Amino acid sequence: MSTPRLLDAGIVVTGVGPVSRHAIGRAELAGVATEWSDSPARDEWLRPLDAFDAARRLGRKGWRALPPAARYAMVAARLAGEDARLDADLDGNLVGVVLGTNFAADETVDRFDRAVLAEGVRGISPLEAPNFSINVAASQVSVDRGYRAFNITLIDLFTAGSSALWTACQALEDGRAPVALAGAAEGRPPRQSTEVLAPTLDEGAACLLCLETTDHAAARAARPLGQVRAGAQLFVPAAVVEAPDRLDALTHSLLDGAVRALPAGLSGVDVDVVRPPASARAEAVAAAAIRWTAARTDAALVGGPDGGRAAAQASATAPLRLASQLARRTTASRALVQVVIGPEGHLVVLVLSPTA
Amino acid sequence: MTLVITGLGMVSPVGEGPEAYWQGLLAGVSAPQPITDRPGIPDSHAYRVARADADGSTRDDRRPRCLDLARSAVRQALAGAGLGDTRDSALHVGLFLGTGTGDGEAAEQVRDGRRSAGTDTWWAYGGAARLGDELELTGPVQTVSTACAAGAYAVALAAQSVLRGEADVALAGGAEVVSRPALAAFLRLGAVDPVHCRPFDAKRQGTVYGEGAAFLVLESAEHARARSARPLATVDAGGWSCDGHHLTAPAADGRQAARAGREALRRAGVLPEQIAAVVCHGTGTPLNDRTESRVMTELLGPRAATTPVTAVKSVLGHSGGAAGAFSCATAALVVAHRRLPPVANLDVRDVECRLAISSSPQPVGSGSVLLNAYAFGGNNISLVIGPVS
Repeated sequence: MSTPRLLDAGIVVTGVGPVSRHAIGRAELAGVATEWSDSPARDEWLRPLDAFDAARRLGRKGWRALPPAARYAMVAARLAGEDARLDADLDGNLVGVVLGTNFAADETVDRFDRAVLAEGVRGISPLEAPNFSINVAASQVSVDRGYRAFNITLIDLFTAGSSALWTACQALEDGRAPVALAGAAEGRPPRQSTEVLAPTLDEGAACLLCLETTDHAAARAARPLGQVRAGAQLFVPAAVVEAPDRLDALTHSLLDGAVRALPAGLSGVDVDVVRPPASARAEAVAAAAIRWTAARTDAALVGGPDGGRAAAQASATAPLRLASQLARRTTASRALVQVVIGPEGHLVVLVLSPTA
Repeated sequence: MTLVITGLGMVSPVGEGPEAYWQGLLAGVSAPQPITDRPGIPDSHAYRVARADADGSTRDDRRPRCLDLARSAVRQALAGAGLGDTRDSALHVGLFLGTGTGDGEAAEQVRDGRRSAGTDTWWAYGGAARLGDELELTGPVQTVSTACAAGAYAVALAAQSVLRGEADVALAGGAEVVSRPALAAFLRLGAVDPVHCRPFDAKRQGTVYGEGAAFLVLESAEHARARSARPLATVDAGGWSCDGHHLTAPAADGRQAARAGREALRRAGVLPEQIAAVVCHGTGTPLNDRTESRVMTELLGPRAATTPVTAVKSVLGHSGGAAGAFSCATAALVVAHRRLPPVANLDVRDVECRLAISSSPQPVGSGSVLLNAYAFGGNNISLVIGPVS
């Protein structure tokens, strides 16, 4: 439907776990001045995640056979749990995991296939064999943390991390668990993905948010960073993108609904229009959202007049931007609407308000 | 709100379309074929879908095959539901696709020299969006890749989408084709039966890859009634859990799989004795079948010995991300026909799998059908599919 759906249950964000070349952990994230817009293309198309030291974060054992995205996801989960001050003894049946990813298995699948062609199936290490499956990163979070309420992997291009956040909110609303870790983890992207995402991509990233029902968070005196009020997930087919009137009607109806979902008394709304700079299709949808924002006196775009052109961390980009804004928010008077637009037509909207 | 299934579509190793599929399952006769179109994995086999293009011409192997199968299943399901045109701007239709490896074949062809790298060879998971564009969908379009439980999770998420009013109608299903790196990994893990897929048989040695696509049309009973659509079955509820134990092996105690089953029954408001049949995950892997048998015995209690159970992978092979969707579609047909397809290739049943399995079709009494889907990472889901009242 072209209006966000209000959550019946109160869902709050109580922790963030970013792993990126900009920042690892909330403290570093809060100190990063960037709004996570992509820097202009440089000579290289792939930037290393050189600040990530798996041994320092995960210890000496238990991760070496795992693909990089699973390592990033494990660290992001630990950081989000620490940031939320989740009890280490929390019953794992009470915590679910929803992870978005696009490239968690890409490098592994490519390497496996080349090894099979060169050496047959013996070219694959049995220890690494499971890593062809794109859900290994999410699964490893549950193995590592003992989170057993549910474990879901979503993979739509660019928007999967935001879909994961919305899916987790709805699972909590349905009473499937009171806590969920949700977001995205990415491994090394293929070079051709620069053609629809961004000229320069990061070799990996992850960002998980700790989501909780307000009751659960209050019972343990957690300190919420924001409350998820509503969300939407829909598809904008090419036929609608090519019809400006229909596109404006759909986008503006969504954003009008987002504002209606907010509690009274806020001084305004920040609109974060996150889309990949290399996608003309996403840009057309973004332009409609930006027009809506420009027409309102109480709304402001995050990241300046052009908003959030960013995709270097693929599906982790939007969760990282969201975490960044939650980590740096000091005033409790403005709402945040994140509009995440994929190059293939996917659109996810998350509506957050400050918490008292 | 009651959620109903009003259309089914399948492209499977035993036939296309609900009727051919159902008759194929009841016959219980199929066999894996040698894989001859994938350099690098000689002596491997799978339950394949052999099909020409829609116009009868020889298939162009450069076209995305997983998408082709999904498209066929979706069109069948829409036609069966009497939903010819999804472009009605007032109708919000969503699509939820479960898949493990998507259309990775294009990249495989680049690596083995059968084609050049291009803009259409690097991203294996664009099928759902392609269908979204073709059908001009404006509901949620989502690709779920929770390994071998993806198809069932796609149905569960689609059901919730309709229940919450995010979509008027949801297409839910899965699609999978042979993936060389995935099959090679299974071979390397020693998880492939060299003969055929034989769940619950004492001599089973693993699973066997399968191909296919299955889709269901979901909508509220009220919505179906308003457009005079005939419901086949209801989607009552699902239970989710995760072992959090190991990337490939299920937790042998089956505690979390049992929790998913109990949760599905609880949410559906169904007692174990109201389960008329079970569509097992039934992969043919020794530990998986034993664990699932234990879980179903615990869940169904004294009735476990008499509640008919089937395992459609014995006929279809293991279609990974599509498998759970095939189980959902099968459960809908079981509810509609009150018959349960046989477990094929059952020569000597494993004495540790004490479920009511049969190599012949079994009658099914009144009540609901429980289905299970389990996956890499210990991800579990059980769904309850019920009769239309």
